[in-house]
Amino acid sequence: MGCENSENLLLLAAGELESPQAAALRAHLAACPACAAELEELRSGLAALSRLSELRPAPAVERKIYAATAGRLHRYRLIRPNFVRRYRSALAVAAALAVVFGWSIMADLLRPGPDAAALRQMWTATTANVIDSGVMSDELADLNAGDAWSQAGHQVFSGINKADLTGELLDLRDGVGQIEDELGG
Amino acid sequence: MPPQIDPENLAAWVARCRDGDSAAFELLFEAFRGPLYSYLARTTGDRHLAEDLLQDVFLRLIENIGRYEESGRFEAWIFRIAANRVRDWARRRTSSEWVGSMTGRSEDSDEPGVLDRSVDQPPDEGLVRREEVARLETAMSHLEREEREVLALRHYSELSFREIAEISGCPLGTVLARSHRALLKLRHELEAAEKESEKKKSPRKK
Repeated sequence: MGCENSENLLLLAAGELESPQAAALRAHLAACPACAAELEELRSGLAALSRLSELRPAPAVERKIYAATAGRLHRYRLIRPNFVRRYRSALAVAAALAVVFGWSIMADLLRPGPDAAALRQMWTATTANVIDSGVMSDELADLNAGDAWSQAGHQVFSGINKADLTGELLDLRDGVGQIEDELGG
Repeated sequence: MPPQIDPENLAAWVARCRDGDSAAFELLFEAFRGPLYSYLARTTGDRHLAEDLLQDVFLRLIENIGRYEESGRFEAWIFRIAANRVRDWARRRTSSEWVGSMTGRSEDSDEPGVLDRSVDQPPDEGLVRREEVARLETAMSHLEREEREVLALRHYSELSFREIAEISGCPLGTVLARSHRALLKLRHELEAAEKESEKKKSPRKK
């Protein structure tokens, strides 16, 4: 140890180190017993890991999970194309509004309030969470349990959910970039 | 055990599943339920929670498969969904005092516990092998949650460390450092447990 090769040693042990680096490291290993010993330990750890058995839910539970999921396949096939497009837009709007509404809550809670960089970070995290999730109300309900920002997001989304998602709400999406620019200063 | 699936078959299943073919979904379900469940159970240390998360992962698969782009490996895509579920669970745990009684599930313990092993061992496994597996599972359960997660992801998804970094949204250096630490801990703990077991087995001789 002490050679600061730990990361490359692990990649070598896992067979994932690129050839030129691997050759250089092997040359080093010939002259460095500490790194050679560390490599052996890592190989041994990986070998132990490879013996970890696979787990399975109980058959009855597995059947229940299959039934609960497979039953949704048809539904999503029927509504997928427009559904996804519409929801993505609505999500972007919800996330943007969550930031705007959330900001007013946070500004009260935290003084001095976060600066533009912090706001941008929150904005990014909120939109990433929501958009990555791909699904809306459950996800926002989860987020709702998280913090004041998400609570605001949930409230906003609940409102949106009841509204017609087409038309002027979609226009709000265009405001998202503008809000972000403003937050970014 | 990572899924051993012919990539061409997998691509065909995914395409058919996207078209709403329930037989293709069943094939995907059968191929990935074990590795996904194992990853979720090893990481959370809670079988019941892992069952809930597994169902959630497959629901999200169905909801989002239309958006899956074939440029990336399907294994990475599906394990990313699972890793996101774990991340949400971990986030909820950390804010559990805020969540309070809303969840109805006790999530305030950091102890993952050792999973029930008896379900998973083939009957023909020898006693020595069973002891080894038990020691390995105990050693895994003693790791930090993030360490268990990265090792379980590596083992059950068979993704490379680079792919793991990508799907977990962590820098490669962080993933490697965490895995390195976890593997050495695992190794040392196993070594200690083996010594302990030997000591117990060998009768005291004068």
